[in-house]
Amino acid sequence: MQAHSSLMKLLLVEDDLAMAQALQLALERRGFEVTHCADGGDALQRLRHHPPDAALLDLTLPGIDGLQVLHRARAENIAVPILVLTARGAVGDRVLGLNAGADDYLAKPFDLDELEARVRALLRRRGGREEAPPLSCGPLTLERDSGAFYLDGKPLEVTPREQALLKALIAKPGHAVAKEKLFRLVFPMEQDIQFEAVEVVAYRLRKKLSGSGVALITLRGLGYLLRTEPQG
Amino acid sequence: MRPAAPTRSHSLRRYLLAGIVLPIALFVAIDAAAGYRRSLDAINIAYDRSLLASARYIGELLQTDGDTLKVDLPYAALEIFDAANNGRMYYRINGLKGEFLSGYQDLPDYTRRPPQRSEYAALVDFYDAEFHGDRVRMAALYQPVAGETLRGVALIQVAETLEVREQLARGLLVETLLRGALLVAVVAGVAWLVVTRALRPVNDLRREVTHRGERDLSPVTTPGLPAELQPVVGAINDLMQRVLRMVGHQRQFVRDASHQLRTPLAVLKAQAQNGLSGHADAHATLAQMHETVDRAIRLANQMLALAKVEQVHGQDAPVAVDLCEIAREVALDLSPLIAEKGLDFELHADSPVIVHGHEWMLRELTRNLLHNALRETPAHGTLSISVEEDGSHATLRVRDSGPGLSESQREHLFEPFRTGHPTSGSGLGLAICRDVCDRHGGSIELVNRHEQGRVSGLDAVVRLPLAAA
Repeated sequence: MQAHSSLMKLLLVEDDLAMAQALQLALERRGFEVTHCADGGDALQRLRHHPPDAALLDLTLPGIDGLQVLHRARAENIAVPILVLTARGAVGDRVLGLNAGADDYLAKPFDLDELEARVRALLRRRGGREEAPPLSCGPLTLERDSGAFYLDGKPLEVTPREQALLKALIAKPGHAVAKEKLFRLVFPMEQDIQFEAVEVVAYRLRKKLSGSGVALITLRGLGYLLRTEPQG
Repeated sequence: MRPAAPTRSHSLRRYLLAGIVLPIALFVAIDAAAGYRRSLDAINIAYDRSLLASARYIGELLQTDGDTLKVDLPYAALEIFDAANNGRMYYRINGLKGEFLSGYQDLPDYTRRPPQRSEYAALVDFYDAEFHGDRVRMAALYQPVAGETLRGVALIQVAETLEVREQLARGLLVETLLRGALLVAVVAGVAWLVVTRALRPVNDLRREVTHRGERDLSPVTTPGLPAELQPVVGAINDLMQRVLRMVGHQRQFVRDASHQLRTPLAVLKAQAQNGLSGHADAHATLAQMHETVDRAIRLANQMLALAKVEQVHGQDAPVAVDLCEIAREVALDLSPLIAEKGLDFELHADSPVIVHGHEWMLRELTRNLLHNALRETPAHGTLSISVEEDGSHATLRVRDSGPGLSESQREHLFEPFRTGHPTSGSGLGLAICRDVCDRHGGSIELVNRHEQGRVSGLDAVVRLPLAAA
């Protein structure tokens, strides 16, 4: 994780101390500056007078509960992006939270990587100062600005279509991307192309990547994914 | 007697009473009316006769005196009739040429056609008329007169006010009505008693059911119930049995669930103690603990999912859902696991297959089946999902290349916590799948696939009714 000159400030509102400590540690390790408060009243004070870049809000709080905090903050036009965390996890709670003005919602228990990704997405969406880290999967990296791919640091020669396909896949390493979506990205505006044309592009890419430690995997009927492979 | 139930849309007692008493009362009323008519007729006949007798008596008194007809009516004669009743009598005698002879001249003249014959041995006609503002009964008698030179027919009219007859008839009517009313009252009383007695078991039954404790689900045993109520009691007891079974299942589930939740916690504690004591490598311990926690999370999530499937009852309305879309999304979601095992994967879900249902339930169903298949399939094995239309049904088929199911595993397959995988499965996945299928009016089947005499994998086949086009 690259260091930032001024760290992103997060407000963590969570009444369970063990949970708060664990989250604070994890988020600080991931490059955020975390302030913690354990009840709704404090949280509102903080949001009013020291607005952070984003807030993580637990719904079950002593005193003023999370939904109330959300309602009041939005009523007072506090525009801090808020990610709601809750153990309740029912669809109804989710809708309630989002209606009350939450920007995103994460059910406990959650994965720390997932939490980080959501927080960064939130900050990006708000046009914050967040810089997207370079995308990579094993030895393969994508330089965002130029759109150039590097394999083990050496430029990888790809056609524009291969580039489009690879870009979509490297955004979610290890996760498949649906072939319909890939088709739209690789062949934008073109109507007379067969669906199978994506397969041809994928086939050529797979050959270019073979033996490199990153592989393009086909899930037939579903899509493609990039994933690191033990070499040799 | 208190009302039998707080909401009493229609009372059996009132219904029975009305059904018994009303027809009888109606019959009594009709009978009284007919009786009144009959007695009125009888009275008329009797009084007409005496009226005729009066007319005849007067007729006897007619005498011819040469060319003239004379009558010598002693007032006493009329008094006989007068005294007998409270009515008044009037008479009028017309001579042979129709001229007024004697009596009340203003008594209306007989203008009807002369009677041809009558049931009396006389030419007489009876009719109702009005005289001095009173309604009167009139007898008009043609009395033949034969003198030495005089020969002809005189007309004798005798009128009598109707008061007497009416009084008499009214008296009879009142008597009939009183007797009828008494009859109705007796019938009503008896019916009320009988109905009350007959309904007493219903009240007893109600009392027994309402006064029992909320935990008392034993069969209802009100003694002395009539045969008609036995089916009701049977139905109540049947319901009790079902509720009892459901409560039993839920108790069992809570017991099992707490046991299942304690297991990963115990494992976690042991792992943490090992790590703390320094006997085990810290990083390896943490990795193990991470896995244990994942297991506990999966278990908790599935318990929630199961509770949710059971809870949803007409809450969110079912909508049109594309099973292909669901299969695609779930497969995308689990694609990291598929890739990790290096599976030969295939999805057949090209044209939309629409069913009517709850999207999240169908997603849960598909996810559980795919999860199971992923767990069972060895690395680099084959795994496929297909969604097709098959007549009136949608078929979702998940085929793994795992070891299949043994007979002993089949026995408790869909029961909660009866997993064949004590370390990896929560034992709730298939219970959720079956509940979801039940909710959607579908079915689920697990079939071993055979190849060259050996089990080559398991097919999980879900059939759901297609949404009407």
